[in-house]
This record gives sequence, C-alpha cells and structure tokens, in this order.
Amino acid sequence: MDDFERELKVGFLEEASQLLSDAEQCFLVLESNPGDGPTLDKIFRIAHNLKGSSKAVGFDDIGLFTHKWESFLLKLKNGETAVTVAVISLLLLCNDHVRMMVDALKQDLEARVDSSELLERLDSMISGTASMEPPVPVPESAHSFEGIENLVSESTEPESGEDVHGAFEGEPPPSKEELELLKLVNDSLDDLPNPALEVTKEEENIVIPDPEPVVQEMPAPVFELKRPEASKPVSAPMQDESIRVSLSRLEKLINSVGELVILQTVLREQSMSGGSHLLRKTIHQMGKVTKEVQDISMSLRMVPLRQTFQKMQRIVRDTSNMLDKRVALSTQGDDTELDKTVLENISDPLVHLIRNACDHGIERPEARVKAGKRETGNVMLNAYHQSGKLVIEVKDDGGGIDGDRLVQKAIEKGILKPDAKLTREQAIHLIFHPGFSTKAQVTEVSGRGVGMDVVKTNIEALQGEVLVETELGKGTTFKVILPLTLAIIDGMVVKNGNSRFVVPLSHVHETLRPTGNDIHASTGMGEMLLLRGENLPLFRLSRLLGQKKSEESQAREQIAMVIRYASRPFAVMVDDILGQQQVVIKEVGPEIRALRWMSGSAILGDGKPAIILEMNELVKPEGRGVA
Amino acid sequence: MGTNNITMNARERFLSFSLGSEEYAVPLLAVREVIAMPEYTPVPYTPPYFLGIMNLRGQVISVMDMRQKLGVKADKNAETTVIICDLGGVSIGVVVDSVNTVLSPNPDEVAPKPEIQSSRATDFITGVYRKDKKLILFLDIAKSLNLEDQNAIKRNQQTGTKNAA
Repeated sequence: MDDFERELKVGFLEEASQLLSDAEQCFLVLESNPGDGPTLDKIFRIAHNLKGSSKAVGFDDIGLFTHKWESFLLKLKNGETAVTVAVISLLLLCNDHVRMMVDALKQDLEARVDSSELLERLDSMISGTASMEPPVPVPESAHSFEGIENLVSESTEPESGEDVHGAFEGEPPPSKEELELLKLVNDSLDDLPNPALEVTKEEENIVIPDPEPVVQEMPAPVFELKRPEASKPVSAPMQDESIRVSLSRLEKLINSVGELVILQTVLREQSMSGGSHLLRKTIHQMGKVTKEVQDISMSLRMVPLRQTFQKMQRIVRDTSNMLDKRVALSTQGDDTELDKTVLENISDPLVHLIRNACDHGIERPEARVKAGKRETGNVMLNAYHQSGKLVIEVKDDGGGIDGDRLVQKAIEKGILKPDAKLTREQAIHLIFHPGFSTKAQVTEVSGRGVGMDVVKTNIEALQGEVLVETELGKGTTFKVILPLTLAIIDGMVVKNGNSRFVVPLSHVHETLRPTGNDIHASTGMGEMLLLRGENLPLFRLSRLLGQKKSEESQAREQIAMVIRYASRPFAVMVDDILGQQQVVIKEVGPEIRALRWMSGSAILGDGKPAIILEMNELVKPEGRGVA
Repeated sequence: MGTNNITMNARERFLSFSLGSEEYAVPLLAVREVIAMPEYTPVPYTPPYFLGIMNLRGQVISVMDMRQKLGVKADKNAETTVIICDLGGVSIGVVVDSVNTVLSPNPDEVAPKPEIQSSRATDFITGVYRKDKKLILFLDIAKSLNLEDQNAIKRNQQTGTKNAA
C-alpha cells in the first residue's frame, strides 16, 4: 500500500467516524419523530456517502454492509417499511457495527470484521418477511455485545467540540494536518480513565431486551408526516464559519498573550513614575486592548457542551431499554461553554450519573403509576454558569435517596458501626463511599458500587465538586460544579525566606497568626497547633522544603495556613502571605515533573516564576518521592 | 538528535562554548537561542546543578548548570550565558561560561572519542574535534543532562525524604 492510498484510507476513516455520529443523532431524532422526511433524507445521504467512499478507497467490507444498510433505508424512505422502535434499534446496531469496523480499521488497515449476522437481519427486513411483524429478539450473540461495548466506548470519547462536518457528499477528505490533530485527540483518549468500560466488560451475556412493549405506543408513521420546519434540527449548520486550529498553536498563543500582559504591567508601572501625558494615555489604552486580547485568547479553548449532551440521549435510550423502563431526557444549556480539557474529562462521570439516574433514580413504570406519576420518567440535564463556575445538573423525578436505608445498608456492609449516628446529609453522602450500592439486585447497568466514588474522584481531580439534593418520592439532583478552566486558579502567594510560592486558594481553609500558647512542641509528636480545641499537626514550610536550619527564616511572626482538603487536616507555617491573585498554571518540564509536591508553576507579576505547592503531597514523608 | 551520525552529515554545524578553560560544542540544530543569565527560582529536592526554573517569554523552563554537572571549575571572569536547547520539544536552559563560535567541521576532522578506561561516564561525548591546538568535545545534551537528571532527582528525593522526616 503506498502512502497516497494509506492517506486516503485514513482520511476516509476519520470522515466516517464523523458521519456515524451524525447518523446516530438522526436515528434518535427519527425515533422521537418517525415521519421526519428531512431526517430520513439525511440518513440516506450519509449511508450513501459511506458506501461510495468506502468502496472508492477499497474497504469492500464496509461497502458491502453499507450497501445493504442503504437498501433498507430506501425502504424506510419510500414508506414501505414503518419506522418502529425495533427498526431504530436495528439501525443503531448497524451504526455501531460500522463504527466498530471503522475502529478496527483504524487500528489495522487490513482488519476484517464479520458482519454476516447483521447482514442476514437486514436482508430479512429488506425482503419484507420481518418488516411488519414484531422484531425478532436479538439473539444472545457476539454482535449484540459488540454493539453495547461500542456504545460504551463511544460514550467515553471526549467531545472534540468541532462543528458538524462532512455530512454531505463531495466534501473533501480532511487535510493531513487535520488528521494529525484528530490523531492527537484520539491518542489522548487512550489515556483517559475508563470506568464505564470496565463495568461493561463483565457484562458479556447482555441480551438486548425485546423492545416490543414500546412498539404499541408508537404512532403509525404514515400519518405523522410533518412539515420540514416542524422537525427538530439535529445538527443545525453553524452560522459562524469556523476553522480548525491545532491545540499546540493555541497554547502558544495563550502563552504569548500571558507574557504580553506581564510586559504591559511593567510598562504601566514605569510610566507612572515619569513620561509624558501622551505616553501614559497610550499605555492605558494599550492596557484595555491587552485585557481584551487575553480574554479572547482564553475563550479559544472553550467549547460548547452540545455534543456531550447529545451523546447522553443515546445513553438514556439504551440504558432505559435495557432496564425496561421509560425515560425521557431533556437538556438545557447545550450552548454553555467550558474548557476543552475539562470537557474531555467530564464525559465519563456524566455517563455514570445519567446511567445511575435511569437505574437507581427512576422507578419501574408500575411503581411510578402507583405513586401518581407519569409512566415515563424524566431525566434533566441542565448546564449553566454561576459565579465563575460551571454547574451541570443531572436531575431525575424518581424515588429519591432514602438516607435511613443507606445507613442500614452501610451497617450491614460493615462500613459503619451499628451505633453510628449520622446527619441526613452525611447519610446521603454514603453513596460516594467506595464499594457501596443500595440496590437489592445488581443489574447490568449499575449496582456494583463502582460508580459514584469514581465519579466523585474524577470530578475532584478537575478541582470540582458534586452536591446531592434529594427528596424521597420526588427525585434527586446531582450538581456537578466545575471550574471553567484548569489553566487558571485562584492562588495565595506566600513568602518563605526569600522565595515565593503559590498555594491554590481552594486548598486553604483559613489562615491565622498563632501566639506562643497555641503551639505545643513535643519530641515524639513534633509540633501541634491548638485551634479551637482541635489539635492539628503543624509543619514549617522551610523544613518541608528541606532547607537547613541556618537558611531558615528569622521571621518572628509567622502565619499558619490550615489545610483541610486532605483526608487529615494540618497546618503549615509560612513567613508571610503576600496576597491572593489569579495565576495561569504553567507546566514544568518533564525533568522535574516527578516532583509530586509541585503541581506546576506560575509566573508572578514581576515576571519571575513561582512554584505551585501541593501541600498534601509535601507533608507526606513519601510525598516528596516519585510515584 | 542525530549527533551520533556526525560523520555521515557532510557539514553539520555546532555551537561551541567554554566551561572554565575547556571548550565544548553542541549541535546547532538543538539550540533555540542564547540569552544572558536570567533570574531563576530555585526548586528544592533537586541536584545542585539544577539551578531552578526561569520564565522564557511565558514558558517556564528548567535551568541547569553544565559546569557543575561536568564538574568543571567556572571561569569567574566569564559573563555566564544560557543556551536554550530544544530537546525533542522540551526546552532546557544550559548555563555555560561563554558562547564562542559556530563550527562547521569537515567530517574527517572529527574523531570518535578515544576509548579511555575511566570510572566516569563519557557516553555523552559524541566526538572530538581538534581545531588549531585546541581540543573541542562534542556533547549530546540529552545524554549529558536529561536522562540522567531524572534519576538524579529521584535519588535526591529519597535521601531528602530521610533528612526531612
């Protein structure tokens, strides 16, 4: 295979992935609106496009499969076969199958995947033998499992945030740079933690449930022909034109702008002490422009949540089908933007929360009716900005969390002592305890107790937090609060000797100036700080940093910072606190990244770099070592 | 870095610099720029030749003292210069006494390093160039600093931990 051919093939695979995501969205729209002509047309075009290009670059397996797929779609388009839930399920299965083929080919351009079983099912649908009957339940086969695994792996993909692209024929294949960019994105995927996948790997015997009960509810599609404008746009073409830029170039720009801001500050300070009126005026104006440039450059890393939210539709659909429940997902605030890195890492926890809401939150249809609720449960996904943070709410109108049952369960499992007294809030937080699950039966979807603690850890790794609000019988809301970007933190600049350090403000619980009576030293325990009846281990920053006694500062009055974010609280003495400021986190070179107590560096106002301290690592005797 | 293939590249160019009274050279392609000694912030738990981190136009990079690393006595009268090297995407500032000139030696003037039985590791020396009456040693920066440093930092941390505890 020569380079040109290889490039063509790789180009096709990238394009195909995009087309398949588009197609998936279309299927889901079609499901909620079976007579939607334009959507059907779009799906047909996508399948046709896939068939044409795959044959052109020599992927005959995909060509053959998509040809069958297209024939089936043609029947739907001509109204010869009704669009039922079963049909949609089959279409989604086909979509997953093609995606699997594409993924396999991405690994190895010669890879081959057996499609005979799905081909047979498509054939029988096309020839009409099965078309009007309730669908044949999917046999317990490799394919159904592959489909599910695919779905899970797909759900963990981060959003690239790029707008919809290549949905129409004649679109040129992505350029080489784009491909490299995509490859980068893909490579980074492999490093992501993937708890969702772990869960499903054990579920080899999942059978896709027969969706028949739902079929009866579907309106006959023939009478549902709607006007095109009434249909919900799946992926409305972006009004704004856009351009793809590699992330590394963006980073460079952001770095340069940061430097510009620092230089501007120096210039302004200089002009204060002298210089003409015109100079000062110009510098003042330049300051405004610089600020604006900085804001714009920071916003370049921001991408909307839309694609992540769209993927959740599929998660809800498949999860509820698997559980034989009826769940509708509504989303709000798809346009809310957040940092690309945060977005990539929030997808997994969100999938967990959504699946959890479908499984544990929403009750069975019978129970819902009994409780006077509508049969179909509602899960709401809502994103908004609040005081400089991003909030994502996952809300269900299910049964709520029973605190007493949690406590009882925790005692049974030996997590709590039998006489433990917990507040309601503490009881509900038990769901985040590792190895905890209240569901009587372990289901395929969740209930193994490997979800919520992972969710919490993942979100905290992003400097975020999870809150739970629940009312018995009414429902539960999980609030995920995230920083808008990981690139900037609020820092406290502290002085020790002649050096300055930055401590993330979120890590500092309080600061105080202890008097002599507050500190007790003993040979065995070291120093302790007595704080309102609490004994906190007290460390001195200079000693933590390994400075010798002679270098130790002679500052008389030191300040104690109380750190409580760690599992055990402690206090650290520093010489002085210089102030609080927002700092841009700068990565340090790989040669010193092994130092775990140093979470990065920041350039302070005078242009000198300072170390950002990870106090929790610094106080651990082994924390200064490497992982 | 390709420095091992110097005999194959017809005219590879090198930047020569002084450490004390000795002269060394690194491939010019690995040099990003040469700057005056900047202000830097020391980093605890690192080896003595690891001076700290500096701000290079918004990028934070490590500064290492090549003289201390190689155990050469610094020239007190020299101005002290930092060569910013690009080692496979990672920038590192290397402190030297002074930068001299750009060499483009004839391949046959560069000899492989003589086999010396020595307790000191010399694998970072890629060649020896005799110019006039002086001997110039060609260095592989990555070998002389980077790989070894990571180990050095780890070692240092372990001992540092004991002291601090």
